[in-house]
Amino acid sequence: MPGCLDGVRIIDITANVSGPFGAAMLGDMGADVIKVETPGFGDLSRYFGPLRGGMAAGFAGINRNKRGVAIDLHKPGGKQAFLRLAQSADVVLQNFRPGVVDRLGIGYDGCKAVKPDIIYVSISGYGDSGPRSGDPVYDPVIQAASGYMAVQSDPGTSKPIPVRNIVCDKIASMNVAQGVTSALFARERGMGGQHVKIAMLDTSLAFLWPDAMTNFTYIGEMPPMAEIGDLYNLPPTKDGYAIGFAITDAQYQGLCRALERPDLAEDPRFVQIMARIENLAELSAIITDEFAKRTSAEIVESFSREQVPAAPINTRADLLNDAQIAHNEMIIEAEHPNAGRMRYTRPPIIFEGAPSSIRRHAPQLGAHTDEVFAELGVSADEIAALRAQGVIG
Amino acid sequence: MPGCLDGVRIIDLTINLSGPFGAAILGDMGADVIKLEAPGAGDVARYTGPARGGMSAGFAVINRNKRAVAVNLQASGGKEALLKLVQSADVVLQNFRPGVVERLGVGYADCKAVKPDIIYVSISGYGDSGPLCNDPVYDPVIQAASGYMLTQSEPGSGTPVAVRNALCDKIASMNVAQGVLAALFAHGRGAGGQHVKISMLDTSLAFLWPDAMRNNTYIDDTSPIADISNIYNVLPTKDGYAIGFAVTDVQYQGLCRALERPDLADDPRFDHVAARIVNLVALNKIVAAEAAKYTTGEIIERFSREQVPGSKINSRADLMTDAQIAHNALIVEADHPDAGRLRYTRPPIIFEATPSSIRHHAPRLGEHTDEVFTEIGVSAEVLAAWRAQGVIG
Repeated sequence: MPGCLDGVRIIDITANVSGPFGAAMLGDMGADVIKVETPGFGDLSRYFGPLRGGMAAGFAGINRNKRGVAIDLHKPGGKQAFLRLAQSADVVLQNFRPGVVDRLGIGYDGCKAVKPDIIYVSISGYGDSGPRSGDPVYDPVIQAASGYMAVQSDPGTSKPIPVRNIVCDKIASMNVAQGVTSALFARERGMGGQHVKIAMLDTSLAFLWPDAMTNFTYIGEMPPMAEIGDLYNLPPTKDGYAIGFAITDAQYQGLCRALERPDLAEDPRFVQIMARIENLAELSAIITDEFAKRTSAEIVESFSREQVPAAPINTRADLLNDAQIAHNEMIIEAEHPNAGRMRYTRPPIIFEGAPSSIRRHAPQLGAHTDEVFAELGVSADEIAALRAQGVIG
Repeated sequence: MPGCLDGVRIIDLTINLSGPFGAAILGDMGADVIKLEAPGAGDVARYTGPARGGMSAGFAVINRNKRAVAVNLQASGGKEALLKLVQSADVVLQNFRPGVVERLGVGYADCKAVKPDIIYVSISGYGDSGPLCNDPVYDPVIQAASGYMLTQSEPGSGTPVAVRNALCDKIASMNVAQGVLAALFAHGRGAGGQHVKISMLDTSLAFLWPDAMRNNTYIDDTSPIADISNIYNVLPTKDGYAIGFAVTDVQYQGLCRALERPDLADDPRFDHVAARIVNLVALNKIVAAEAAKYTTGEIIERFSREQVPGSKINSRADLMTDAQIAHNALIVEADHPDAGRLRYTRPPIIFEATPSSIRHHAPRLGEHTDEVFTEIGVSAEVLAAWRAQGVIG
């Protein structure tokens, strides 16, 4: 069965994470993604992280299901070669700094001139105008600017702490995938192509807002409440840590049974949800004492029996032999032709009628240049000439 | 101009965060989202968090652009009322525990029987089978199970630390939006309806993998390197903190100029990217010592001038007055009829031809029950009878 985006062609001239990971999600769904890089070096993220066979592990993860084409956009002829590709495509993705694609002649207008209904997606750090739009960004810069590092501070301190994964880049990626898919749907319904713009600052803030900005949502005098992070209590057990998290009254009753504290089950300070929110500190202190008397496994087992949300805290290594993760076949082992044996996560959304799949490994720089241009009807002689001029690699 | 999903109807049976936030993203794009709750209390998220006018702030944000219908699915007649709605819809979203919708008679097969091309999305914590599939979950449970809490540990410590926002819920939300969009596109191209399944465990792991699991991606014989965010150097300044993050050689040269340390520009420990990765700890110490000589304003100005990715670290309050956020018109003030003045973030993806928008505020429980059922041809007499029998509210 073909995937949801079977027959859709995407030209991906993005580098690093925000664009490439978004394009990988679309590739998983069946799109033909053609990654365009500069001959010679290509996407810098090819070289960042644990390397094998000339390819970084993170690169291999987020550039699966793509073909690799190398074009030098600064050479005369490079622009024409790129626009030939754009002409055959449904979507173009780019994450250069604002203004760069227009200078190169491959901006929205340039692509629209050769493909009137092109969907053209521009990804930026701060937006395409405004006081910081010309500044370079990486994920930690946007984590700082969009409040993630402040939100991650320990309660009562103002020392910023980063989220320890590239969260703001990857949130942008998810918006890239959504932006492309909804624009494709609208085009199918007669809305034509369009320019879609995504700024990491915007997507990060929109993602943070619903839960982490609740004290700033209602305007006017409001008594501030505990932040959601303050509820994420991680009391130590006898032998480590476990998470146990009761919200509803039924779950709270389960928690009292699991901890063998029937007295708490009718304690007016805690018996209903509003009271528990008010007396959170007292309840947390009691739970901390009870956790310390038990092992992590005892906590998880008794909570699970009583239907209280709980889990052991998996290390990276634990993930590789977790029973539920194994049951879900979430981690796939495969053989990359250059990098060797490796692990992917399978595409996480299960489409029963149009399954996503991993069909190709991440390509070497320019591995499919000849194949792709030949498909477009460019002759072998012309390909050789373009290569001799350094236009393609 | 209509949004991308103009004319699409979504019946949203989900509660809490994962489903409702996903449905809100689709509503922003123009879909007619009908939120169905049990009469009486409805979605528990209505009450958790800072509340005003009987509605919590987080609920108001993620239930905008929805109409609310109250139907008691446990009452006889409740199922029929829902299936009538389904007949008029394109998409159904549900996040009950596995098995519940089938027991209620509103599972995929039931909905497909009345609407053969329905797109039916099931959201679960762990998947619909496997050892943990019946355990209840909230965001911190999945943070524990999917590795986030241990990837968030301080380097060298095994103490788990929570990500202090409901990250795993919201990653599931993004996948819900993505799954619906892709299935709608496939439907438009003739693939029919289908069952789409999303588990928080799966989507969380797929999100964590590219960068935070890079030392676990290649199997055997690779030497581990620093985890990604050990590179994130939060710099204490004279009056606060800042981020400065040079990756490329050009950015590193800019960093040396910004810090007035020309000696470092040709220091062989640091003067190319591969060497900096090896000598990261030493470099981070030097940069931190230099940054401490400046105020945050001074250091950011220097970084920006030299095109080194950098930022001040915005607190929650800073976000309200940040110049770039203001320029992007990202924070929108509006009046909720019950809760009063509030702040949203605008839909973050800018579609130039099919703009997303905030058209309705979050509804009261059952606010649109009569309106919606009347639209689909249910008579006033039938509505009155249903209400008398407690089928609707």
